[in-house]
Amino acid sequence: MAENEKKPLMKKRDVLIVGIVLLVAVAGMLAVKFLTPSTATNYAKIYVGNYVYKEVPLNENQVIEINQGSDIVNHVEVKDGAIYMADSSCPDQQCVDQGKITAKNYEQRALRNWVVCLPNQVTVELVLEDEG
Amino acid sequence: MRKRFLSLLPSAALCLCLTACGGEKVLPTPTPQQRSQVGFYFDTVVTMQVYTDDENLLTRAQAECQKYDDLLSKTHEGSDVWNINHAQGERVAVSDETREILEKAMEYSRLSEGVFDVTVEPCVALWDFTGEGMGTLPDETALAQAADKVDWTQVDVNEEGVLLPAGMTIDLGAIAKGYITDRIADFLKAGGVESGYLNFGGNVLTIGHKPDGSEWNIGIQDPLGKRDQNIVGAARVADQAVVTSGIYERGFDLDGVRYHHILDSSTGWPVQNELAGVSIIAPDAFDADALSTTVFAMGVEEGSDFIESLEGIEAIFVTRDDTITWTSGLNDRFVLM
Repeated sequence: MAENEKKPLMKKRDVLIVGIVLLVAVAGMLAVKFLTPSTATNYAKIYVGNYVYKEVPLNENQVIEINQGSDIVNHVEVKDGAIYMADSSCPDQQCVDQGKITAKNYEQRALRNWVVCLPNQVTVELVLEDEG
Repeated sequence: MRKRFLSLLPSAALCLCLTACGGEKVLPTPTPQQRSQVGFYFDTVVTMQVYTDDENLLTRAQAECQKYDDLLSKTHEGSDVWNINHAQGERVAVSDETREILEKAMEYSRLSEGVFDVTVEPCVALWDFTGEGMGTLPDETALAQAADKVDWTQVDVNEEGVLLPAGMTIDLGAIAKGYITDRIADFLKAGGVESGYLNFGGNVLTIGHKPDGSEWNIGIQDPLGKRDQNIVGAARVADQAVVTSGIYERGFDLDGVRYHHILDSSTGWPVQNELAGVSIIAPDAFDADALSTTVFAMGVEEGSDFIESLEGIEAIFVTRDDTITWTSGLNDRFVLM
């Protein structure tokens, strides 16, 4: 250790190496931050009973039919970033009344990010991917 | 070489630090993945949303739900409740879980002087709030006879089991869901979950805070169903349960009267007072569930006084003419919509 103290802590070449390493590190961080394509899309899981029936992205308008036979049919609609039960063959229609879920409104909903059709056992869950 | 290496150490440390600090958030451990699951148990829907890296945890939690369903369902032949209701005056051995629920139920019967009563089942059986018979009233004489059988003081629970006089039956619907919600939360916490949101047919239980450390914003159900999104406001909670009892959950309108599932244990008819609904916020769902029914039956005035006398428990009342009031502890935690 005594020998070490007589010399400067870093040589010129060391400084250069450190500089390059730092530059590469910062460039790498920026690249990760800005160049990674933003694939984070909110999507919804549609369940029938206890199982996932389908996953649908929220950036594509579409209507999903869930037909369980014996006239048990639900239509889930994705429209402009919102998802909701468009219609249902159930007797109480509560699922239709539960309205739309969006990334913005789910904290102001009684069922948060869910729509539930209890009689037909069809459930929709909004999954936020770009929440953080 | 060794000296060169040593001289590089500080700069290497600096690099590491910069890299670590460069990200959006500095977390000691990464947030576990959000996972969710739906299940249909206890004649209702159960949704679980938790943060965990254990991909099978929720499947195991579902098996737990099924276990409790098998144990406590009134209609499931061979369940503890079915056995008690079919014992014809004999003592029946039951699980510790069933005993624990019955003991809690009787504690609430005592506290509410019989307003809360699990032996109201003979009356419940004469009503149909969900099925084919919805919209018709039960026979008055039959209902009066059923109400005569209701008496929680006749329930005898001890180490050997449960003894109910012949002709009496129990329904744990007003309390079992809360108990099960808590047990499933315990199961998830034991599995390492520190943040989650459970909804057992309207009984909400939050585990810890949200992953970002903030409280959960829970919408309080509008029992009149008049507003957008069906909530009257939102309460900030963490590690607490929110349970609502109201006249619109299960019920029907006939000749201008709302007939709903919260029955007066002395008459067998639905409780008719100024209330449309009560939401209870409590540290656990078991108490919140039992209290929501009890306090609903008490009405606004008596119910508020009762809740104010309990530590750590709050309530929000919505009357039939849409007046919303809440207990003092919620003043800075509840906002109207």
